Amino acid sequence: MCFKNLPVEFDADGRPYLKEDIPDPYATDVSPSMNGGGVQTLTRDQIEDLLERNGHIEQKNFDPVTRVAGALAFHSVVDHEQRKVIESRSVATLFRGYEIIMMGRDPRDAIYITSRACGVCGGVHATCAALAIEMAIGVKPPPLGIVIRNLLLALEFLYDNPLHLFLLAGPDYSEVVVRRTNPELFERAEKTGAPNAEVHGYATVGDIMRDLNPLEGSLYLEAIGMTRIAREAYVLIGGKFPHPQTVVPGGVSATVNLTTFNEIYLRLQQFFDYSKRVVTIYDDLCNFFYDADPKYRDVGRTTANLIDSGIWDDPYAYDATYENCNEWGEKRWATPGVIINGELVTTKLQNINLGLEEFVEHSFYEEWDGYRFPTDPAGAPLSPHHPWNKDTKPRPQAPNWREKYTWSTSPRWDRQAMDAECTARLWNTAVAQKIPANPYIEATGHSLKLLIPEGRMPEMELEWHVPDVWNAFERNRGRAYSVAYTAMVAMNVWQQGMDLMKAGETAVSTKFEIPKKGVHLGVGFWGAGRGFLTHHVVIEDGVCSNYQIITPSTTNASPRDPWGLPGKYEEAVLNTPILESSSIADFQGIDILRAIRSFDPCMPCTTHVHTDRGVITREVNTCACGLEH
Amino acid sequence: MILVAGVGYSHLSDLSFGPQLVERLQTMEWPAEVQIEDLSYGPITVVQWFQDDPGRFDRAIFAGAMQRGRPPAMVTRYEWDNAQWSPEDVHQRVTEAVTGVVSVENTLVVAGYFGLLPARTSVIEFEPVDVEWGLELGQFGKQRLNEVVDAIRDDVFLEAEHTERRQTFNE
Repeated sequence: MCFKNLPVEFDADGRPYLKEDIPDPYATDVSPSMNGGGVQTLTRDQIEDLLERNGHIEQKNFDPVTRVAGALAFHSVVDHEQRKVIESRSVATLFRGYEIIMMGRDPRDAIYITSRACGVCGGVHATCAALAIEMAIGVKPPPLGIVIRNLLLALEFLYDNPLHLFLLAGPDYSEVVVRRTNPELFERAEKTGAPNAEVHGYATVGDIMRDLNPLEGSLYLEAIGMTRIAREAYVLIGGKFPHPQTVVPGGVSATVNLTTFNEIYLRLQQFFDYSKRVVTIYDDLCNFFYDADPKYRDVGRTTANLIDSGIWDDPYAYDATYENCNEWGEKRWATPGVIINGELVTTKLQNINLGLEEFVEHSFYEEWDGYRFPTDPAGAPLSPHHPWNKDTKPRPQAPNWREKYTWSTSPRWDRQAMDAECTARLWNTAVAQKIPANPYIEATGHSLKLLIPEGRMPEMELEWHVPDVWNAFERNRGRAYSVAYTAMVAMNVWQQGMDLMKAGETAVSTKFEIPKKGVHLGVGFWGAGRGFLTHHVVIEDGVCSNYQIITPSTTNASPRDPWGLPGKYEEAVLNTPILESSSIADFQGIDILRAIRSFDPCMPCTTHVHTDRGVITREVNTCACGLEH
Repeated sequence: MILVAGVGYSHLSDLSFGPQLVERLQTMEWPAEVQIEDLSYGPITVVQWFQDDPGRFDRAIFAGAMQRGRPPAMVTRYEWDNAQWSPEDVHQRVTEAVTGVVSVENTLVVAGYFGLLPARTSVIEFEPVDVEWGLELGQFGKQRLNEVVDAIRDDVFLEAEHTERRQTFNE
């Protein structure tokens, strides 16, 4: 059964319909079933009482959370005696105004405007916007246009994922941090041989940690260098990075030839050996922590609820229609899917879309009244909380833990908090076994085998296994394997492009016109380096009458929902044991930070955020983490 | 060689002072030893641009808008001192840089840390007044831009003249 909480069932042919005889089918008065997952939370009264009565219970606020993209603050309450976190609140401190900026504009503007939502993954927003417009206006790119778009996405990820692994999250496992928070662990690391030393070249785990040191460690510096290679390859087609100039509805506007592809290959192949090293470094690092203390398996642990819309289209299957989205979606190089409590429950894009709702009970927005689209374009039931029905109504106010405390909304799927994570791509693809036949990637049903070609190092098979626990370490490990997976998808896509050009199929775009009349719905199902991304658009008489973006970090950073259930950062921190051995006076909260950073937070709009008082180009922290309400 | 560089985002009125300045300077005649560059494409990419030809510049002038709470439209000029930044500061600026933040300051902090700035690096900062979306500078921004253009030209032409005289004298 796909949905356990939404009033949607399926007929004998698998078509979704609204359950009958339910007076108010999308009412929020009944708490959803958590399918065995979930986490215990205390009320604000209980928290305040505990804080007042116990000296060993203290507030620990991170404002800002450093080494993440954008403006994120985090409030927690830590019980030092029990060594656990008893309260956690995730606070997006700046307003994302792109939904409002897009109102009344020509839909084509979305490509360039929404790209600016992020300084890392601008291209994915641009492309997601193009996909949404294509669906709304009915234009299908030619095969090479689709292939090139796929290639751009892969190159963008090859910039993004190494950044996270070695510049943002990586330093949490570096010598300087581990020595400060858990000196005994670093001593152990110095004496622990690295099982994959032959691949990555580090004799001990301590050596790995040393090279993870910020600014000076060679892994840190190498990652900066790898970003250049990925960027150089990207701009050969995209023209600019991170905001490409060549993404259009109906394909791309670049002139591409065999030389372009060869230039890209020269850069892509540099990720073959890099992938082998990245994966084995993270395997050794994660396993070291588990061996050192099994409690590390609880750091950042959440219910394994993951969502991904799939990415990298089949150039012959993708037709940009909503009606056929289940078919073309399942032919993507990364299979769409939803995992609930570790089990894959759907791979159909329509179901992913029907299950989406966005709530604002604890966010700085007003509720909306409208319910314009009770069904999707295929006639299946939509919630009034669905993005196509949403109206963005910002309402700045003083934060209050009992009421509203963040600019992030609470996206839910089937009324459950989801992890929008790049590992979801590996997981869905591994379990669904729908990936097209290819020389590099094999889905086994429980793992993903990646055959990485020879570079300076010999050919090597890597295997990512569906983890038995979903935590901070597995998020990072999954991101490391994503580098290898992405590089191999890029190889497949690159080969497709070469074949198309050799066959003379060199068209890269399809002409289109924006219809001047009528109402047209579209959704871009795409993904950022971090994970799941959608853009929902309503085009009315030639302009956007609604535009809604759900980014991975909106999903992950979400606050409590209408049922008081925490978002994923909050859940991950609530489950995190305090394993740091430093004194209370020198408490760094490293376990909490590892849990948060493992999601690769990207609070879009650190740059170019519009407020009533102008444009903010650098982070301004407005968090009130210490507030007492 | 003297580098004259502008840094900032585009289309943000006064906040685009750096790129607007470069656009103006690039329409003018300059001595052969002056290079005008828009270095608004991210500090890490700027670092890699310097690394491609290390030691090329003897001197640099960086310009851009910085919101520091000074009197509106104030222009400040100072010599860049990289020693004031701790490794933690630099690390944070690298984090900002790779996640999309572009400013004169983080460009200088990051490039300075990697030892890529000329020993003589000066900064011209403009305190922005109009910070809305906009293709052009505001009224005060335009006025200050003219003044900064004149100041830079006086500065580099004087230096070029001195250099030429020194060369003639040595010959």
